Amino acid sequence: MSKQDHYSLSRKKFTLRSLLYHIFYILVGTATLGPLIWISLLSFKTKQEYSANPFNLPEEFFLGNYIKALIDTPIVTFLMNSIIVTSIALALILIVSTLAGYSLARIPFNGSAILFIVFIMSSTIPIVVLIIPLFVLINLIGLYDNLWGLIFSYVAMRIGLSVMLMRCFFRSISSDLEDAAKLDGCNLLQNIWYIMLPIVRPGLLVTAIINFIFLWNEYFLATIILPKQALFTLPPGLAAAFMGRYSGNWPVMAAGFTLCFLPTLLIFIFAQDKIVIGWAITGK
Amino acid sequence: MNNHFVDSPSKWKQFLYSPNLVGWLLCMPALGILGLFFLVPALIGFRYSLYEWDGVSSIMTFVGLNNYIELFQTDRFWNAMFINWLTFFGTLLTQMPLALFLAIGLSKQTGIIMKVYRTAIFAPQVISIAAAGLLWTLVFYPYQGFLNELLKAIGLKSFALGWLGEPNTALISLLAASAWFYFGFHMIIFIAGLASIPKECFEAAMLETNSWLNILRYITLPMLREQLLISFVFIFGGSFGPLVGFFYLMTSGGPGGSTELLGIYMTFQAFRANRIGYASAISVVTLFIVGIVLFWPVMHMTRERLEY
Repeated sequence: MSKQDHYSLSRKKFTLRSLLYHIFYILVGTATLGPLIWISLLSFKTKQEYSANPFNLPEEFFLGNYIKALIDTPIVTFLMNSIIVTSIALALILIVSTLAGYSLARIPFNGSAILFIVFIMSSTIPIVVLIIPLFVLINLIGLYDNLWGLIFSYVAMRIGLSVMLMRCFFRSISSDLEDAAKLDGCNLLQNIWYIMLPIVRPGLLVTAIINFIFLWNEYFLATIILPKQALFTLPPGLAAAFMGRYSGNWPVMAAGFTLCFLPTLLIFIFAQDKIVIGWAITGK
Repeated sequence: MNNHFVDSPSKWKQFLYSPNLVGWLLCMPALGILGLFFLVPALIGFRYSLYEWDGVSSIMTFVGLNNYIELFQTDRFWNAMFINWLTFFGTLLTQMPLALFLAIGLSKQTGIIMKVYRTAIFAPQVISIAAAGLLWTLVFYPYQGFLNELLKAIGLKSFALGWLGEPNTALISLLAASAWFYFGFHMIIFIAGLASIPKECFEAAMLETNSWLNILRYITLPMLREQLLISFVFIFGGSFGPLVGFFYLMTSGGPGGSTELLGIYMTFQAFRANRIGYASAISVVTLFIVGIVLFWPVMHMTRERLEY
């Protein structure tokens, strides 16, 4: 690369190098997006059509796989469980991390540095390492036969990162408004609720989206902690259902997965910038 | 806190509104959940690692450090340890350079094209690891799998293998699949870091040197050290954490233990061999390793963040 165009952000002329550049990125993009498109197309093919030509576009959009996935598998139960787990855990994460994030960002108090280390540490150590003791604990305190054990484990897993994010967003607000609110007689919680939250709402949305994608998709913890299929969320449910019964019927499997990743894919398409902002802040 | 303006507040009110109390109180819910579902499991794990317990019966025998002694004498444990470190270095050496390279390329572009590429590369991140695992099982499947069909279609039929079924190719296949899943994430972190480097730095450097390698070495990498550190932390934590789920789903540690991470070994010991004590010992050892390696990065990140 010559020194003129390396790192320069100005528009370049069409050259051989820029052609190679685009070809390279199109190749990488195809490799990442290709399998996703392949599996969605696969879900519209009949089994015979798939064996005959696995790569072609489907001849007609066959919906039988989706009907089969919805009726023959407990996918609706999995979906309900996923919705329950994701929404409760998300609400808890947001409440808890807003309070802690506010405290770390705006209140100078003794020990805040130690708390900060605790939160960072908890966000870097993978909870999977502790999965066996966690499993034992959940049995001990009687959260075995329901979704709460999983919900609280998720919250514990995500608190660190969410507190970091919320702290960054709270820090970006100037303290004038808060001082004015104090003068007007707002107490602390009123201050957070009426003054800070409306300003920090974009940040809250970023935290919510990043956590939603995680919660909706988490597989391993759910598969270990949840005791029976009736409690499974979508990822372990689909894995169990399709690894067993439909392992030979790929189009039905593909239909199940397309249903599973549709919500996160839609969020991603419409709110990508939020995700990018969130991870950018984490990296700073 | 409105009472700051009352003339002489009582001692009680002073205490009630003191930043120390309020600060800690607001952190309490978060700390409580972390304590119960993070710290307590760590302590429980340590306690059970000193016992022999099948997880069901009420008989628990105290065996002292025997679980650890047995652990360190078991080949399967050292194999899992080796595979785990191999996985870590494998992911580090593939994902980080690839992500950095792509991020540097993308940061030169602006506008819609950059966004399209970024979207395409980041897309795998939004699907579940379970979906990704099954997707790649289909890709690597020996009979009519995507990869073998592709090889057949371009006339390389002799290269068609049972990718996940053979000890030589299983780990490499899994590393490729996990790179596909994760490197977009690291790329996003690097793009954000590159965007925050002032352009003047590059302009000044270009007066001095002609080679992009020098610019990479003296400007880009040093300016990105914070992002490189985060990326390292995620890759390290990932190979002891989230990747366990991915490997568990795709190969369950097989064939012949060639993809058995510590987490998978631990799960098998707990749920198939019913040895909670032994599994807890594995858990404690893994936690120890992760804690030691991540200690310095965490302290560094804390300092960086608290300073400004």
